[in-house]
Amino acid sequence: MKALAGIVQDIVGLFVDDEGLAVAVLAVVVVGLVLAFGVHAPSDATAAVIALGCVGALVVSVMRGRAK
Amino acid sequence: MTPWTTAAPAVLAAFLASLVEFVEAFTIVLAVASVRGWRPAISGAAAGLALLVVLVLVFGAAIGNAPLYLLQLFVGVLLLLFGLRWLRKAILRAAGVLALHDEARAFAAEQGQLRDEASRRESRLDWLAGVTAGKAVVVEGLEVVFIVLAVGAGRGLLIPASLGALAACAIVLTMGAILRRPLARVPENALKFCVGILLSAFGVFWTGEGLGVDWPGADLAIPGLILLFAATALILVRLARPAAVGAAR
Repeated sequence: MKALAGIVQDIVGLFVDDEGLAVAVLAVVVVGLVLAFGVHAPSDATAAVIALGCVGALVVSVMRGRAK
Repeated sequence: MTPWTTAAPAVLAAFLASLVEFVEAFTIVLAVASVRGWRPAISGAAAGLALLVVLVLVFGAAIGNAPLYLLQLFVGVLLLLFGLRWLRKAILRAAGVLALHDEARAFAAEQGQLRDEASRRESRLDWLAGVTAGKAVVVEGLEVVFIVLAVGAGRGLLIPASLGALAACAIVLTMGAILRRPLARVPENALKFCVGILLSAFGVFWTGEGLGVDWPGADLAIPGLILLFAATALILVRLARPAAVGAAR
């Protein structure tokens, strides 16, 4: 049971290490969803938001990691 | 037919990521074997492999029935979480903020942990050793399965991506059988840096596809996204480097 719990914990850890980064990525995807299906924004705008939003999330996460 | 601009990064990502994961799993299985012998190490690894096969069959069937756009969005988001996490860590390691991953040190740590357990409860140690080897195979193997499915499922590239992963497995097992020690010379940190870039680019691409984005240049957007993440990562390595390290260079 302990081993199974360890495996589950490791699997979650595969996707979430810095919680701030995970939340920022999910926020970018939610904005993308709203743009694509909520306000029917042009496809290029959705593409730019996803790509640049993820780059921005990475930059913030790395710089926060550096400061720790 | 899938263009090489999609196929080549997918196969490369599957190969490089699998190489890193198989090396890590091999180190733990080898540590178990060195403390407790090959029998619990191999039986634990085989049990882990069997569990992986079951998971692949269950999730493979579910993936086959999912609508394509949902699959692309789901896989894209998971790839973003997974790839950006790898890339962040690789950048911080390259900048000297985090310690580099060292397979020889991981091997010694695993051996030490098993020896500690041995001194506490000798009778259960074979079981414990088997569980340790099995867990390593499941966790590292799941990463391989996820990456192969993630980069291969959206464009019918499962077979080429699987072949990339199998080639990595064959290389690690062959080298491991010859050397019989941790594969510490594999440049894991550099590989993780490259894989983080590739997976992040695929994550953005699939997420966009799932949201109905018409990427400029269609599949040619993938090399463009790879360049975007590579440039960002290289700049971040410079920016994140602590002052003392920067001055020393």
